[in-house]
Amino acid sequence: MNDNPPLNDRAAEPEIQAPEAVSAGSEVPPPSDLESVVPPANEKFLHPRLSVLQPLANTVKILIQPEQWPANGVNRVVLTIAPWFAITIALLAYLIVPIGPAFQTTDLNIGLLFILAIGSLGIYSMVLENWLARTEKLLASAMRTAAHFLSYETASALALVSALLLTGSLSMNEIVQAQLDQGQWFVFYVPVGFGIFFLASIALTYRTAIAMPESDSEITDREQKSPLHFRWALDSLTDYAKIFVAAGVAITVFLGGWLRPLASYRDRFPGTPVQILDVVPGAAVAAIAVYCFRSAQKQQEASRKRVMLWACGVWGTAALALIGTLFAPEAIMTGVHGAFWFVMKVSAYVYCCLWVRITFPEYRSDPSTNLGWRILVPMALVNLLATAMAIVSTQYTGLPMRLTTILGAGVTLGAGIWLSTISPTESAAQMAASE
Amino acid sequence: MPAQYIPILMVAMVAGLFPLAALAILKRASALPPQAPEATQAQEIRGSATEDMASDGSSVKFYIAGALFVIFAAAMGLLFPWSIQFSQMGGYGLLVMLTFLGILLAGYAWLYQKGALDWR
Repeated sequence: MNDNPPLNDRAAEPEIQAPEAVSAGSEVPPPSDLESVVPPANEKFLHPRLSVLQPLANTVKILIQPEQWPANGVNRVVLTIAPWFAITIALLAYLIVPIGPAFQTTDLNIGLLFILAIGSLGIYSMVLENWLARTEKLLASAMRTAAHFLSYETASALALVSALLLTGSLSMNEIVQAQLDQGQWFVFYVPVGFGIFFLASIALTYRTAIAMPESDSEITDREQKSPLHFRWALDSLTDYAKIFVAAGVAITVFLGGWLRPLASYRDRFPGTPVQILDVVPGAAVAAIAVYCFRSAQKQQEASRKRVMLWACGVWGTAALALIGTLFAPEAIMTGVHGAFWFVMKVSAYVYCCLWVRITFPEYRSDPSTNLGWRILVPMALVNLLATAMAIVSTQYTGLPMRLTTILGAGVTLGAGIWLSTISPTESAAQMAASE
Repeated sequence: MPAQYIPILMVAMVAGLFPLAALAILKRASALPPQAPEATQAQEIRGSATEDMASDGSSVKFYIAGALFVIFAAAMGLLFPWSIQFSQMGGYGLLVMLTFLGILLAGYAWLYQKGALDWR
């Protein structure tokens, strides 16, 4: 069964025998034939296709759990307010992010600053929850996470400032507009800044690879970490809301926001084959609709066929809308297509974050906090200075911006590599000295 | 200018009402009576039991991290307006900020050497 020798023979026996007994007793049908896998009606099993409702059932289960509080006389009002506060401010940050030129609730002239200010309030709820639990391990966990949060918060804000040098505005809409005017997404001018922000955004949203408030070996959990209570669900929801906010900020500042690839070519070279990129959203969505239609024909069950046809209808309608706007006035076209590109980019960014999360192992909190304070923060400072020098040297010498910023990125990367080489040896030497 | 902030107020109310409604539903929908704290304690804190209270004080490294953040956050307060005006200031703006960040980096290097950034 597995390579590890069993610790206890008696305990291991039924585990090994159980699958054999099942396979010998009842003949397992081929997996393609789903209907025959369904247990007979007198047994209380639901049909397999109803398992899509499992997340919904889990939500209801969490919702109707009895309330649980820490045993040692905790302030329940504050403990209820803390997750409420966290989710509220996480949702509030969505306001400023422009989802296409037509979809933005309000365009503040201090947009980016507002998001940073709102975002850094999130740590309060976490510290409050663990402070109120009034046990030392939870408090230690909270303090550790807060220190961790602060180091990456500093690095990410410095990385954002390096991109702001190129815009001259904090308004999210004008940041996107500046990228259109300069004909370049800022990720190509400050690639290292984007990299730092990406790492920091994983850390700030408590995704595994870089940040982990707690690990299995040292269970210093959040108070409501046992998934039994709706307050825990709100906390969990906050983490996911935050990752979408971070993705929205990264897309807007570094990756062109709602601009399509090569967006500036529309005005610079009108009527060239580059315009064919405008067809991409419609074509991509139409391809999904066609896939759903073909998949519907292959389905054996009537219900699955219905679902696929329904999906085909939805995607087909969206494709028709996206293609139809090609013939609409320019403002409507850029508005609808902008939303398409923004959602695509945010999805890709969140996908990459989750990809990093499931690919890399989790690190202990001390090396990852060291990464924040000792490598990312000085790297972000050097990146800021290098970008500023690149802009000034372009102003004075007339060299292309692309060249000077690439030189700056090289200097920054060199500094980062140098820092990463001196850090471990030094701390190892200090540890040896202290022992 | 204040007109820009009216949508923020409205969304703040909606965003605040959403979890409040969820928590209100939770109050109504909890099917079982609240359990005694002793019964739930084992489920809440798995792993080793926590015996000490949190009021013992915490390690000084957390205070150092907090102080470091205050220093950098204060620097950031200057960096944001500077970055907005940077393209109009040219070489002068760069010189000013090089001086400022030079002092900051010197302090950072000193902290680095002292081991204040070592996180154990």
